[in-house]
Amino acid sequence: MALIAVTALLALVPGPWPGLSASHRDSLLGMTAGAGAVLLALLLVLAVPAARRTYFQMLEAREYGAKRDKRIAWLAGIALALFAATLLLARWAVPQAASPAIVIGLGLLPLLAMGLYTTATLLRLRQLDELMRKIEMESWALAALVVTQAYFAAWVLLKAGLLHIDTGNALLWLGVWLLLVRTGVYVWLMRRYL
Amino acid sequence: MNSRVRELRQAQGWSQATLGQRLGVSRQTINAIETGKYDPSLPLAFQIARLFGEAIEAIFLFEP
Repeated sequence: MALIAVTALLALVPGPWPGLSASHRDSLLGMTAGAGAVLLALLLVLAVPAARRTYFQMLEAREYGAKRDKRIAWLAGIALALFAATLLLARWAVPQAASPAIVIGLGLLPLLAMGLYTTATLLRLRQLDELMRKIEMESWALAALVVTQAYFAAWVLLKAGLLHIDTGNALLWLGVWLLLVRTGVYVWLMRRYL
Repeated sequence: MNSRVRELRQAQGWSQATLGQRLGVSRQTINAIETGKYDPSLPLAFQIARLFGEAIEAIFLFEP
């Protein structure tokens, strides 16, 4: 929480870090808002007794198979670091040289990160027992169905001139929406089965 | 699907967690099977039947 507060201060107050550009401030503020929203959601879950019970049941059930494999945390951590490295390196390298080799190298970094994250997720899924795996798979499947349909509907409205959104931000929010819808479906399934 | 898993488990004096450990699944999965909210996979049903020394159809009661 302290880290989120410090990051928000750095983004909002020009004094402590005068060299920070406006776009970097926006990025920092976006990260702060995301982390803050996750923290707020967790606090809300812990404050509501029924939600708290479901949350701890989920942790207990997931914990059952989680003790064996440390590769998962490593793979996921390296994947996230690669995404961050791509962002930082692209800001530095692309305006300077933009040689084809650098562009191709930077373009491949997210693919490597995707591969590592997918591997980590598959390893995690295989650790779960059959009921938890069913809940996990159904929640991702339903979330993918809902979010892709919502994006298609938004694209139709966009083409029809009835909706105006920034497509770059819409791409970023794809992951956020997937996670949000998946969490909602996950909680619903947990309450149904447990 | 109804089952006799709770009755057989209690006859052995086992908790849901103990049975889960013996079968390699979580306590929540055992609870969901006992309350009829979740039908186990065929391999898990065979494991349960073997553990209690009964036939599958004597433990899981199918009602169409």
